[in-house]
Amino acid sequence: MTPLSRPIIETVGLEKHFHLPAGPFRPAATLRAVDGIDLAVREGETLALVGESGCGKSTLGRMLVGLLDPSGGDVVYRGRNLAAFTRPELRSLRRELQIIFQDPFSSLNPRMLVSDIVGEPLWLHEGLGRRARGERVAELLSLVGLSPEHGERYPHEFSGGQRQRIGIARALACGPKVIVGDEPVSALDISVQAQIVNLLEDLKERLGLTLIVVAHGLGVIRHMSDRVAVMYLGEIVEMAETDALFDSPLHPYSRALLAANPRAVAGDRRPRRLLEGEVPSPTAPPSGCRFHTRCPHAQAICAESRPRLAPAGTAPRQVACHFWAEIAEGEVAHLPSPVRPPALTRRLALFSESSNAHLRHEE
Amino acid sequence: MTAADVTLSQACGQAEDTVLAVEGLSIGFGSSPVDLVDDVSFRVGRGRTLAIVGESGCGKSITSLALMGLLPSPPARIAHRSARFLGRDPLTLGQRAFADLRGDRMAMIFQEPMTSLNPVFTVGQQIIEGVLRHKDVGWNEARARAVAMLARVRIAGAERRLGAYPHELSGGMRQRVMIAMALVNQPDLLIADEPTTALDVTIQAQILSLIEELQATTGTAVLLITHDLGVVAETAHDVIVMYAGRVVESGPVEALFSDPQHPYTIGLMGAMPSMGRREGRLLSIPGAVPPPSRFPAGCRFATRCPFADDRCHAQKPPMVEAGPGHAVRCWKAPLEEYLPS
Ligand SMILES: Nc1ncnc2c1ncn2[C@@H]1O[C@H](COP(=O)(O)OP(=O)(O)OP(=O)(O)O)[C@@H](O)[C@H]1O
Ligand SMILES: Nc1ncnc2c1ncn2[C@@H]1O[C@H](COP(=O)(O)OP(=O)(O)OP(=O)(O)O)[C@@H](O)[C@H]1O
Ligand SMILES: [Mg+2]
Ligand SMILES: [Mg+2]
Repeated sequence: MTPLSRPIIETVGLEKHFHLPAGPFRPAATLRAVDGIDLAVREGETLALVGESGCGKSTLGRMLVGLLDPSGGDVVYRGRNLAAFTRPELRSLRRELQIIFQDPFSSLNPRMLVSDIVGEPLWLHEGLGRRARGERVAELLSLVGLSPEHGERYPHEFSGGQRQRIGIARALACGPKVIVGDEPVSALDISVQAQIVNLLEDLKERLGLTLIVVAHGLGVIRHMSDRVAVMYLGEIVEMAETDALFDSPLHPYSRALLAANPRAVAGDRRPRRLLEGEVPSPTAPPSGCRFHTRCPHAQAICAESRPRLAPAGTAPRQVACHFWAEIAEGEVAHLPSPVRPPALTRRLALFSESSNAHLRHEE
Repeated sequence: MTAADVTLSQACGQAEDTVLAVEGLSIGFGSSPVDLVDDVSFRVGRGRTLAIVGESGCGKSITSLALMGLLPSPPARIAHRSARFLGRDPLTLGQRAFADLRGDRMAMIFQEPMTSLNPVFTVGQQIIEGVLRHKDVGWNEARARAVAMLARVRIAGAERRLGAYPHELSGGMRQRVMIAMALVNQPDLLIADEPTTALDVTIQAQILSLIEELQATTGTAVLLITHDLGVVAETAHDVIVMYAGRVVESGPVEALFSDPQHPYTIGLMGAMPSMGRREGRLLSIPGAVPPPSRFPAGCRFATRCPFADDRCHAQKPPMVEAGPGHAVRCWKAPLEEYLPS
């Protein structure tokens, strides 16, 4: 990625408010799922969205690809407002803007064969013949580590991770420009996860794909993204280059998030660092800084005035916190990286050596 | 080689107050002769956590669905040598008796929340119904328990969310609603299939603490299916590693992390992205699991194993002891002895 590349998608004051009608347990209310987001996604980059469950990541992702209409603000794709696209234009836009859904099962039609699910976009958008489509589907399935014969089965006959890969194959089917991956690898074991991450990186190189990934696995984010946007309750609270964020998170929520990441050290039963306090409800977000009710550094002003997302220091980095500078001077919340046990290191070396020898042998 | 075939029940810790023990569970589908789950055995004790990790599609979910009586048969073929849950064999229970156990003494957190939440009922109705079905309490008490449980899984504004329909919730909230449904009756056994995949790490930490708290106070045994090795390291006491329907390695969590023996386990550990700065491509195990019709007769990992030879392809290796309570199914363990260094 070149840092100067122009934005492919931009949002301006983007909002999604859901109106909740009155029901047996509740009066009517407005739920602010996404509340005023300004974001510029650069062409060819991988941007990660992270944040607490329910903070609005999926809602934002769906608006970015035009699957959900904003209730306020705009999404701009290559300089053009999505709201200005006509229906047929939107339909052809669909092939450029793809999404891998968070819940693989409910996003796959249970009555369709997998080969038809993966092949459908080809048929809708490319008008490929039957034969060519079949070949392309087989190729897509093997790209994601499934075999062509898997195409002749129905979604319910697959495991969770296999279904997730069907969703990925489908999203890749007709040469997208932007993919929003909503937890694209969360249901996969780490070895398949690594294969898919490597695959997405290759495709990025080859096709200049732009990726927006929503993910909870911080290891994957650190590995594959260029920048990270940290969200809290419908807003972006920090935006930074990946290494900068992981090396020194500035916003107190970002710090809490990184500190909670489990480390793969057996028997590591250190007391978990829990983020204290009630999760506030998006129907009644706290005044001022939305994080102040749970923030260990909060002061009186935090309950009164809403901090804006503003440049922090010299780096191309933004944070929405009144006291980020003071907090950054204090203690650094660093966890040492876990050390690989010697037996594992030794055997991994054997494994890689033999794998390479094995591959050479097969060639 | 004198390979004593260690049984898994010995390997997975002693019988200190066993909640669930399974021996020789096999599962196939329809007319295919291959068992997708092949001779799996394990045991979970009171207050203990057994983690199952393994390649996507290796049979973790169908194993747990079978144990919960939720795998329709036919098309599934389920066979086992023995099983014990609180003194009874759950796999021989009739549908009705099973339904009484489920959601009460044994509960499950499903991998895909939307498949287990009913879209036409509010989450409140679903949790309250679960309490009324099994516990001798009135509606008000059931509702109070539902609200309390939703608050414990960190759903904001629990009262109001009782009236929400599943589609109005985020992915992680649905997962937490399902966790609340599973925990509300304080089960003896909790089967948790990827319970925290849809959750960010801060809420994940809270949920894991909640499950541990429950284990400490009520002695719930937990069968934890996850591919997050960080979560395994932090919460499990014992681990079994599965590949293509078979257990390939099992033992105490420390032994598995410090002394992994099976080439699949080794490859898996190597694929973990480190939390340090990015360094080239992630390591992955080359290739993919073959479809069941092309499983080798011997070790099922042989098609991808860099160490495999003719014997590995032809003969199924037995489970052999690799350390106290630690067993591995590989002809070449420990690797160093079989390879020139
Ligand atoms: N109804 C079915 N009919 C035929 N095959 C099935 C059926 N359900 C599952 N399978 C197959 O059984 C195998 C095991 O599936 P299972 O869901 O248990 O995998 P898993 O270990 O949970 O994987 P994941 O980590 O991806 O969730 C898979 O190869 C799957 O394709
Ligand atoms: N159709 C809807 N009607 C009402 N509320 C909704 C609807 N869709 C989403 N919400 C609410 O919007 C908020 C944000 O949801 P969203 O799915 O974007 O969260 P998320 O960040 O993706 O969370 P997760 O990590 O748990 O998937 C939540 O409070 C959710 O309940
Ligand atoms: Mg989501
Ligand atoms: Mg599964």
